[in-house]
Amino acid sequence: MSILINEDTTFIVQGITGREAVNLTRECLDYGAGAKVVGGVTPGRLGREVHGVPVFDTVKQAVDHHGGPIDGSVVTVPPAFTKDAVFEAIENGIKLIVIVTERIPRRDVAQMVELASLRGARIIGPNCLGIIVPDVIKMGGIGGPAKDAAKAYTSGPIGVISRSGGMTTEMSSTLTAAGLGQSTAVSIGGDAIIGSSYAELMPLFEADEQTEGIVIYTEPGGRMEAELAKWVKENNSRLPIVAFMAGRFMDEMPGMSFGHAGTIVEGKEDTAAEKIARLAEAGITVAEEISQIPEIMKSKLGAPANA
Amino acid sequence: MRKDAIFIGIEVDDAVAGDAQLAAKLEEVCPVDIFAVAGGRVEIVDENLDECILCAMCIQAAPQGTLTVHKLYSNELLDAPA
Amino acid sequence: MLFSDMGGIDIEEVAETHPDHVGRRHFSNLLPISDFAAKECIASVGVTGSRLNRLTPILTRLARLFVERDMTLAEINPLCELEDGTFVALDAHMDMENEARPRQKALLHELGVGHEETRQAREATEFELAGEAVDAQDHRGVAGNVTEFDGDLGLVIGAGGGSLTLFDAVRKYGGKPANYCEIGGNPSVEKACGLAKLVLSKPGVDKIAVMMSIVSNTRVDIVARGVIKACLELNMDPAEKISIFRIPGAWEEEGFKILDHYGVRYADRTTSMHEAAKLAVEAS
Ligand code: SF4
Repeated sequence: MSILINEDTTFIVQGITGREAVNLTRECLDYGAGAKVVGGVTPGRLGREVHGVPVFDTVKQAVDHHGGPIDGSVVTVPPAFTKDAVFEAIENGIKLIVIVTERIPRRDVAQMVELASLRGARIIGPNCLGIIVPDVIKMGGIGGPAKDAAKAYTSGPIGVISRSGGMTTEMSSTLTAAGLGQSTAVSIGGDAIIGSSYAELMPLFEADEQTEGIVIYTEPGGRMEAELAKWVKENNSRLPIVAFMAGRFMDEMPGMSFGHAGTIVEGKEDTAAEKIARLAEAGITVAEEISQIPEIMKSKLGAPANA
Repeated sequence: MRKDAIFIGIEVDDAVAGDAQLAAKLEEVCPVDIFAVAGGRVEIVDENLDECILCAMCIQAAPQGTLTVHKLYSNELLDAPA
Repeated sequence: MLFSDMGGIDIEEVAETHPDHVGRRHFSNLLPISDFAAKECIASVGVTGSRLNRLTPILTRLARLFVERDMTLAEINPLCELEDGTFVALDAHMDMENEARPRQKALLHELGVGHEETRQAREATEFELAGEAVDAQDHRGVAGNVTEFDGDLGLVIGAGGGSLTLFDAVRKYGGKPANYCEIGGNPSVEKACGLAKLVLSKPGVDKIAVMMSIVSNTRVDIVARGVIKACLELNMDPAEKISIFRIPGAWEEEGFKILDHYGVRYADRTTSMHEAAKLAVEAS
């Protein structure tokens, strides 16, 4: 199986008439079994079509047209309008929201995440590329055009969680080349506040029969790795985890931000060195190079359970 | 009419280059503004040539065989869309 | 929100040495901020009586300021009690996040905070400002976040996570980067060219390494055109000046044709990012 989405998942694209959104819609329709993109929303564009997907003015119209609840939404509207779009999706019963938009103010993100948790919805992102279940479905721009995504991703036992969209593909491609396919790969976003962290996705992978191991991509900044380490220890997870940490050079440059907005090192706990130590304490191996990840994972998978 | 930059060259048959309607259409379809209308004629904008994304929209917009996009780095012609 | 009755020193230090003197409480970003949350937070470290009642509105208002003004940090430290029982802030520290600047324009103007004053730990160099100008020339994609370093190995790298990985990798193999940068979001040929030119023109830089993690939006052929064009316009030989080109992904077949034509050494996804970085260091 997979986590979060499967071949039956229905979703809409909010901001569907934007240049990137048009491409993303095409890619999702083309990939795997073909995503069920049941509508798009751009206010004022009711009646148009994007690659055969009907466009509506509101999420409500899309839900009414579909004639039942819609599972998800990919949100690609500009930062100033994202909060409203996400609220609209949540209040119309959508339970899985992938926010692609970058540079959304933190306060707005905090509000979206809070409303989502009140309503039992889940947010992936912001500033992410979405979710892919190899050979089945992708929700978001992850992996790019269907033929490129097919080169990098194959179905298999590894769950991938990454703070960088591009590195999700790089790592999955490395796993694929070594014969380790992926159950689901999730680009969780590079911002300081995101809807779903490693620790919040772990229970889903834990419950997924197909998944036998987890690979994560991580960076300096924030407390997400500490939370993951804590989760793994407290829940006695069955899943071996291999991590890769980029941006180690930033430890020497406190206060500077490189890469994603979330990477700024604000306190001692945020540094790469500190995070690597914490992950290691929880039994998570931090690979020096991406090319080592498959070997480390294979040896972990080969080891007797609960060793 | 033929214009070459470093990577991309475009040739528009002189028989259609004076067609004002075609000029307007090309100006509209090319996503990187390689065509402009000048005095009712097709004009190729030199400084944008190398930005061509090989989408073939221009080939599709012009009468068959009258517009060719040359990949100067591989001596190939861009195919018309299927 | 946090409250400590041991002010005057770094709060992280207090939290480590005297955790019982630090009250913490989450508050809602959706509901109006109400006094009770602050009161609970302050009372949790044992403050009571009129002090509690006087401190509560201070923390409430600070929290409100934090939310309404898009702060990433709003701290009063130390807060002092006068003999008559009233409180005075002796020092305060506020950080506003960059993303919120547009909607806090009025406040920033009132405070006299200029557009160029960022939270970066040092001022932008001339090289970095030139990088910003390259990125601003059109709206297609990104070729920016240029940061100057004092090494000699020029880097034209991307995207967010890829750049971090590659920069680490170059240093791991003993390379001394002349710069950090990020390409992403499918920039125009002109933008990629501008970035490559900037790096190639930096004093001390002999060669550039052009590397990214597998791309799915940015196009390999467009970046290849950009960096080759940069060499040609500077009257340099691309085959000599580009030590390695490692960008696999979207439109790679087309990109490799271009690189072949100019004799530039390139690698596909079977060469890992670290291997590519190593090649770049060896060639410099
Ligand atoms: S192929 Fe596309 S980008 Fe190139 S000139 Fe034609 S329309 Fe413009």
